[in-house]
Amino acid sequence: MLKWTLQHLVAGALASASLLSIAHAGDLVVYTAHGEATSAPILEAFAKAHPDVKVTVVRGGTGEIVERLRAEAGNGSADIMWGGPTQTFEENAALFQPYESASDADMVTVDPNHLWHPFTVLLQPIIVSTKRVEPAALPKTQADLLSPDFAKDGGLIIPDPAKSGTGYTILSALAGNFGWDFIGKLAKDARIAPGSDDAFNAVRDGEAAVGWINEDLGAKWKAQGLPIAIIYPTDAVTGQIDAQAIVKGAQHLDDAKSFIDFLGTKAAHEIVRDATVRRSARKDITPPAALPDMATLTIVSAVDPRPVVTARFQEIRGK
Amino acid sequence: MAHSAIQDAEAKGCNVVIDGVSKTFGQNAVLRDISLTIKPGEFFTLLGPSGCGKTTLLRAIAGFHPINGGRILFNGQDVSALPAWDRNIGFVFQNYALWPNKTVFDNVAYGLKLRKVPRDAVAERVRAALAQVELQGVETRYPAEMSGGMQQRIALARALVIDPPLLLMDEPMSNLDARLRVSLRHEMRALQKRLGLTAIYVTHDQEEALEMSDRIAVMQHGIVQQLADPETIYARPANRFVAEFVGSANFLEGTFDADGLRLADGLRLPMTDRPHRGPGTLVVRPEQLRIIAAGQGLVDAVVEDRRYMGKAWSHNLRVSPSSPLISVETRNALDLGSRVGVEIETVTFLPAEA
Amino acid sequence: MRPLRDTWLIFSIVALLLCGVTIVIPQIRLMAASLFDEGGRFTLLHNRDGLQAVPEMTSRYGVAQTPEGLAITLGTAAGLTVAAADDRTLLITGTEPLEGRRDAAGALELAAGGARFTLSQQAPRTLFGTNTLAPLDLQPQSDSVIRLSHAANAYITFENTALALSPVHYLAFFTRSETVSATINSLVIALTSTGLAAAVGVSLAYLVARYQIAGSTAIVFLVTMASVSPPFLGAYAWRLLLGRNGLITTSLGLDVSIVGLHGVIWVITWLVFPIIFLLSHSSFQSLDAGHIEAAESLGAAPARVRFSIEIPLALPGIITGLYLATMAALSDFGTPRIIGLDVNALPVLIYTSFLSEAGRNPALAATGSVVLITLSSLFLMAQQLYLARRGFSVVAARALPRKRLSPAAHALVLAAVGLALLMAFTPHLTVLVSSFMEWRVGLPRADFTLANYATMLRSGLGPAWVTLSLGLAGTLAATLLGLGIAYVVIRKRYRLIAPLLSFTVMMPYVIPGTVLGIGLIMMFNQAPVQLTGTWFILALAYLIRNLPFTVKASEAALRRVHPALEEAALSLGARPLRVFATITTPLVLAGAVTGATLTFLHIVTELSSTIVLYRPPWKPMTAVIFENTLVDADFGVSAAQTILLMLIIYIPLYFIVRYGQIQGKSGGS
Repeated sequence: MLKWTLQHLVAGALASASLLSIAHAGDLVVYTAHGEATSAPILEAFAKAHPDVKVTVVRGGTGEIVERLRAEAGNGSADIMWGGPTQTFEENAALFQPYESASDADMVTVDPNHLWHPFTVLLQPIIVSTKRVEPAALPKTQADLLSPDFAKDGGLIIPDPAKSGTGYTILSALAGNFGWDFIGKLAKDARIAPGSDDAFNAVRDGEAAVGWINEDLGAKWKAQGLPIAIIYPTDAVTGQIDAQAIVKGAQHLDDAKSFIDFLGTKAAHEIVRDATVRRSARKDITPPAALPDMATLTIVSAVDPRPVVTARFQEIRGK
Repeated sequence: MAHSAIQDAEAKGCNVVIDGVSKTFGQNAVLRDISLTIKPGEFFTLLGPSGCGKTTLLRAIAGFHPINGGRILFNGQDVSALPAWDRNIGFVFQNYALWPNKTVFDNVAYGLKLRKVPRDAVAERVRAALAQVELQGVETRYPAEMSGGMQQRIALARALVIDPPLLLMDEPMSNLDARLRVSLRHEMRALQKRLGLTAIYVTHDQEEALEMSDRIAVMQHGIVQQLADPETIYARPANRFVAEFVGSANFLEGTFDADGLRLADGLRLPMTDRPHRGPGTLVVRPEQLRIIAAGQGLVDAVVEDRRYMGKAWSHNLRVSPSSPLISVETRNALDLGSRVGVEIETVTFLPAEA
Repeated sequence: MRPLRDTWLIFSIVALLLCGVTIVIPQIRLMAASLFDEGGRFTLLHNRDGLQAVPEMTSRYGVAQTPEGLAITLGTAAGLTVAAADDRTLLITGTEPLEGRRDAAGALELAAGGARFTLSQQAPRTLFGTNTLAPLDLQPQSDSVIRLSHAANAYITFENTALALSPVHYLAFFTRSETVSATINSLVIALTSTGLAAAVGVSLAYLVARYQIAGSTAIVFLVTMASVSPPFLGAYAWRLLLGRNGLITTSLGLDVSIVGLHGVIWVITWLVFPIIFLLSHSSFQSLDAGHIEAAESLGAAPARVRFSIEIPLALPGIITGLYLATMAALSDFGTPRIIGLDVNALPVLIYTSFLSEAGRNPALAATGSVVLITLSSLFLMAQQLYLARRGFSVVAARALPRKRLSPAAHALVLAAVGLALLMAFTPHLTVLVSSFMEWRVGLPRADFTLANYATMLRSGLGPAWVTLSLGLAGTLAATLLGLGIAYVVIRKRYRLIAPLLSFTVMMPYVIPGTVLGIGLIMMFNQAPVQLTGTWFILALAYLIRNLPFTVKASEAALRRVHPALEEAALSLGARPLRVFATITTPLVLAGAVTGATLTFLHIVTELSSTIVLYRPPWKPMTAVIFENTLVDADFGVSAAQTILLMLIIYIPLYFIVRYGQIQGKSGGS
């Protein structure tokens, strides 16, 4: 009975699997945290440049993708992880393999170990819901976020640094530059979102008064006329670099290298800038018109490593 | 003709030997070391109250559950380890167990298909089996569309169609109404005799057992209390249980000596011509008592109450205030409160140690 | 030798082993993961301000500032002293001999006083910096002194990875505000929404069952439809309508929002309302006329009959409905995740601490899982205790005549039912409308378009196939296995094995999907049985989650098949497997098919275990839709996909309602 059941189960599943034929053995498998809007134009261009390489794209949040890579380590199907802040790649260095791409030298920064390859630079300006906050009360600096006035309008929303890379970047950079006391005051009446998208959407919808946002999304929303204000604080702007890497044990190494090389080309970066309102990590690409020049901003980097930030933030919240 | 039919029958029926069979369910002993032999072509009945082990014994013979001790032999072959499907038996269930999702034809043909009987032979044999139980043209109907009596016949046809040498029946008539039951008794026995197979029949209905059986095993507490032909069982019950379960009886406890039976309360029944001696129970069937004029019989009694039973009047008589009521049947009603004489025709005496 | 010839015994043993490996052991491993703790750690920060300990990252070890440096207490006697030598070098002195070495993977290890530490460092790097970190290195100076060189401004963590039994995870769980509030929120959500749904569901069920209401059959069918909707949809739809930026709130100019705890409760109330309605309705319908008439003949007025006879007699069914609703509410992952925002609930906490971009915390996920299973087991025990004391079931010998209502009352009841149905179907209607709207940056425009369907057909039928094929495979497996197990439990009743099997198979009843998924990953993420990342683990999870329902459905069907029907075939010479195939299976088919259909519906709407377990390319529709609703990618396409999913759900549902009886999503078990 059981043998029979199993046989039928396996037969049925195999039949449906062959029917589906979603993944072909020969495809380059790209795990990406980029949405359809960012990735589709680049993938189209890649398909034109490399008609012989078929790409299967698997989408997910950065955390989910890393978790999957971790679970699959050793017999994974992925060749490339595309998207995610550089620290995610460094913290999970064991999952990736180094590759010296020719384009690495053209970037604003380079990984000395050549594990990751920069893609875009993402700053996190402040986003304010103009539905909830009066124009006069708009914050101009990070320090202005300490104002108790926001609480009645939905408050400040912080992406949990334990669950969001963006949240970590923001808090680590602010803590490094203004000290942990500042974070303590900031977090006192703040709301904690379970992910960065939740935090962004909350301000967009007016559920929260103020927060931070990835600048590309903010610019897009602003262009759509949503009731938000995007403010680059004068005292400090946090940022992170978005990258890609070849997965350790990639089964299609040559295709993976071509893909990494392609992502570093000027052509690819022009597409990114135009399609997504993102700052390219290449030195020779001008930023999108909608974004302010980085030279006019005070850009601060994450300082404390992630375990320290999550542990300290948990302490602060736990009180 | 008759002679050759019996010869056929002897060749067909199966000899069943139950040899020291025991069965327990958990801590509960249901069959205790039962031994008996069922002759080929015999209509053999297991009779007893519910819980006596009769159905358990039948199902053990069928192989539906294993036995804990002893052997069961069919024609000398030990079948104890043989599963039900290899025993080649016919079994008729109390609730008929007709498959509701199959037509009458498919129900009856099931056993034949298992035996890989060719298709046209199946149709022929199903028709013949249904004809045997006097059913025609019902092949395409479903069990639920038939009356209880017809379902019972189909169940019988399904069991018989595979020509089993042994037919086991578990209270097959208990779900039928009283009139149908009586008419089927004769029919079923006639069919069994005509086919010559051995039949083991389980029932708690003593009338059915007496009327149909060649021999009866009366069971209680997992033990065969008496194994005999119907007449012996009725007239000479081996013990009080058998006497009580088969028919009704008056039980008079006392001690026999040369002067007759002295009852517990001192009353003496002067039955001087009986050979019985010692303490025991006198078993007297109601119809074995005769009512005569007061003072003429063994003892006088007062009519305490009476009930009309249709074919007779049943009376309760009391000999003395301290003695038990005696049940008597007569054609005519006796006056309540009147004094009558009681004569005893035949009796069974069960000595105390029995 | 004889047991070996018994195919069913072999089947039961194999089934028991499989259930043990896939159901029991993962839970034990979860429990173990929550009870074991690593031996402790301490982190030192060495920067321009000197050497200091990081208290938040120090556990189990005492660290004190002394004139000689930092003193670290390792045990009763042993200890270390760490002092800064220069800005990139530390001097470690042990009270006992120290030994430093590199392990096979290249990680630095320090053995001191019986403890073994793995060393790691993290140092900040500016955004555009390209400097290379100086690696950690140990140079022995003497037996008990060792030099540690490190990068500038580094955090250096000494981690003792030896596992030890410890209640520390539980202590942390019940003292940290995040976890405590998640637990309280979960309980509040489960109890409040069940309570609200019961108030609406039981009273409407009573009215529909006991009075002549126009279209009562249609009402019951509609509620049945609502009971199998994708569970997370409601949250998204309600947020779309009543969020701060919602369609209704904006057009009415309201300054309110449904986002928050009240929203979670509201959405889950309408999610579980159908379960309670359906089970209460069938209980009220199966009331026997005799019971009511007996009370009336004794002079009880209608109101008295209602509260002294009707409701108490229907109570076992209602309680079962309440229990199922509480379980659904307690283990719902999608609703609090989508509409809760900063309101944490246990299933979300477990999921995010197991699978997150940063700060993975499997121990916390395991602890939360154990707490959640404990809560749901407590609810089950309460229900069982109640039913054990009142273990009667009422089967209508004679159906109750339905009472008439005055036209005004009738209209009122219809309005109430209509309102409840409107609430229950708000998600469906919203999605239907959304699917024909143009979407930009996660917000709908008022333009009608078919573009969403075009996009779906062009790009995304893959998930639909995954859902369909996993649904069919899981349903087939759960039904066949369920039938076999039910047969063993009802008919074979092997000592020890049958009750054990019956118990094991029912365990997933109290295991929330998220927890089940995490358990399976913990169990099957390494050789020899590595199933993570395959379609098989999804099918396995679906199979396990639905076994309780298919087993119960088959058991109920088998109970109605008299054993004599099988013995009749045995006596005619059929072997047991043949009897099972030719006699038993056809007879229980109707019941098994109802169970199978419910299983299929469960699987295609399953989110909580899917979200943990799925690995591309096996990404079912629920996961696709859910993720799109979270990141607000393009909800129009998601809405179109949801409409497709609903077609997949409602077509089979229509057939079983048409040809069979079905009692709510969880199969009136």
